[in-house]
Amino acid sequence: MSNRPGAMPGFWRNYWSRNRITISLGVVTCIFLADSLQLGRASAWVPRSILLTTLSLIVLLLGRELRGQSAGAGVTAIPDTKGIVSIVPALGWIGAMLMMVWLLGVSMGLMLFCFGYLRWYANESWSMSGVLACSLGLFIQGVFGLLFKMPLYQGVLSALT
Amino acid sequence: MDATVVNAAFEGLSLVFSWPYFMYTIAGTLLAMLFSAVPGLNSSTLMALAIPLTIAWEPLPLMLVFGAFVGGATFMGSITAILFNIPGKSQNAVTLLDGYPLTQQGMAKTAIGCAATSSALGSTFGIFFLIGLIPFMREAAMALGPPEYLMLAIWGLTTLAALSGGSMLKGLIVAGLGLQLALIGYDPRTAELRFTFGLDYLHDGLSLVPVFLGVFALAEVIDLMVSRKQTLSGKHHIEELTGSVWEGVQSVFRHFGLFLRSSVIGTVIGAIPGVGSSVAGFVAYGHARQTAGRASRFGRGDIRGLLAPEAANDAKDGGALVPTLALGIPGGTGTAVLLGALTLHGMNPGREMLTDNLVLVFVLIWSLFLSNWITSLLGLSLVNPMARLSTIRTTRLLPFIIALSVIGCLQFRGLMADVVCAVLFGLLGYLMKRHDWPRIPLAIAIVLAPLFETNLHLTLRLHELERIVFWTRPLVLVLIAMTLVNLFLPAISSRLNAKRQGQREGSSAGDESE
Repeated sequence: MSNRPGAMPGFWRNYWSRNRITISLGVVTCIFLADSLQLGRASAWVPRSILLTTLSLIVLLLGRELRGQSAGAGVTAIPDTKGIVSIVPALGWIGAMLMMVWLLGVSMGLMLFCFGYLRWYANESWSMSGVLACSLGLFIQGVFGLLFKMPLYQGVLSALT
Repeated sequence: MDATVVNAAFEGLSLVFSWPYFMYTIAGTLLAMLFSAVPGLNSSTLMALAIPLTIAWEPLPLMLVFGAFVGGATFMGSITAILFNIPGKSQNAVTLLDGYPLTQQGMAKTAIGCAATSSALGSTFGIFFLIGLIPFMREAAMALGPPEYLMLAIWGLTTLAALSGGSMLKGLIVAGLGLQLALIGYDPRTAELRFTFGLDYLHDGLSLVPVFLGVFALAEVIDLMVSRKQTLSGKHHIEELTGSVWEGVQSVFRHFGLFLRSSVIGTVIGAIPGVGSSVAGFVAYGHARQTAGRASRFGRGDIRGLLAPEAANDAKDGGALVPTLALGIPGGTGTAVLLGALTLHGMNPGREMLTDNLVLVFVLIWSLFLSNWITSLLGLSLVNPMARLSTIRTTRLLPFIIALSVIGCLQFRGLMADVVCAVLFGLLGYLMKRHDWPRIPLAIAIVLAPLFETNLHLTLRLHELERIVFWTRPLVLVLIAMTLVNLFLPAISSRLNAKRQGQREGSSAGDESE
């Protein structure tokens, strides 16, 4: 595959893969910059100075990467798409954990998450998953509930009932 | 030495060794050791988890526990480096160069004995260096005004960006991102709301707790979940270790000159913000190698190649506390999280810390000292059980770490939104780690932003009122020069190197054609 700018769209796909974090940070900075237009003059100059400096640095980095890629230098690494795909199940489990904690509270939500995560994500046995989930529940109640006497989040469902 | 400092030092020492405070240091050390044995986790993760859980604590136990966290983690990474060729932390990467060959030669206990002694004595050197500097740090902190603090914040950020690993441009961008995130909430001067995007949650700005938990704890959790790493050592049982611990202890005294020089290297490098302890270890190793005779066996199991980086790695802890406590500019990730914890407890490093809270400063220092010795002594006596910690399956520990993160977030303000915020920062931290973006400048920028903004406004106001002339203050000029050096030196030196390389290639091509 050629790395010349004329060899579209492979060149730009490669460029995006290598610089997606930089481009995303640039987009975030632009959003902040757009929001700063609503600010009064006295409040706006410090944020705008920081945002414009950051944006200039991002543009500089993107320009440098573009120049390097056009020259064929530093294009040794093949974009890692596997990493992005493999994060999806992990994020799914974290999302499920958030949902369970929000609905059922800390103890029950984290116990259920622990059981599900160990059984289906980490492929532990049913018994090991059960024992560790119960241990986690006991740990939370024992250490935080009884020892530290912390008020544990009960979840929205408990508020309804 | 100033009588106030001496009194504070003795008061701090008596507090650390008094009941029940003694137990805080022991518990903190054991926790730090445990966390260092879990792959991907480290003392920074532990500190980030501990910040919200200790939010209601008095400052004294907080200092004891955090001092122990800083001191307790380093040596465990050496054990896994020596026994399994796997560094527990980046700073232990150099330990394995000679540590693992010693294990292969049946001298595992000798290597661990040497590493433990070198670590304990190295940390003692760094800590006494720090104590010796405290009177000067107090005077320096007293002499600083708003312009100096403003320039210190800018210099600290550029130093961290330049030295925190990877591209400097990336470091500066991350620092800029941290500053812009820290601007969320009310403007301190006009009380106008900034960057809240209509969300009530953002009115008070981003809290350090979810940010630190996300960037340092949940990012590691996501990384472990994605990588599905089983155990640190890759083994499920540990064989019996051989060698003589006593021989290892003696080797440090046989090469005491090298030990002292390595400790100095570690302390000085530790005091430079952002340089990181891995650099200290490598520089000390390089020094040991250069000063060794031709008959040295470096890389094939030379005890000096183990002694030097271990001394430097632990001596740097004392050095790293110098800029953290005196200027509020952290030396590395661990001290960055420590700085966050201190700020959340209303203790501002710098003048206030070294005058009003001097006893607490000494409590932190003595706790660090004690935890380093506990770690080394436990390492010497309990090598086999310690090594077994590295066979714990990560997947079984992860739900517990996630639970601690969630409870920590909820404990802080009772807001579920804090947990969501921590997860988002965890994802950001994971992506940054995966794509080689430094995370330290982000955290430091968020911590330093109030210092930067407040002192910027104060300096401008004082300048307007003609109370100060910014450009005639010597320290300000020095800091401006240092900032410019940070920003432009890497680019200039790489250009010069490229030019030299080009000249060399040109002359060699000329020789070939002749």
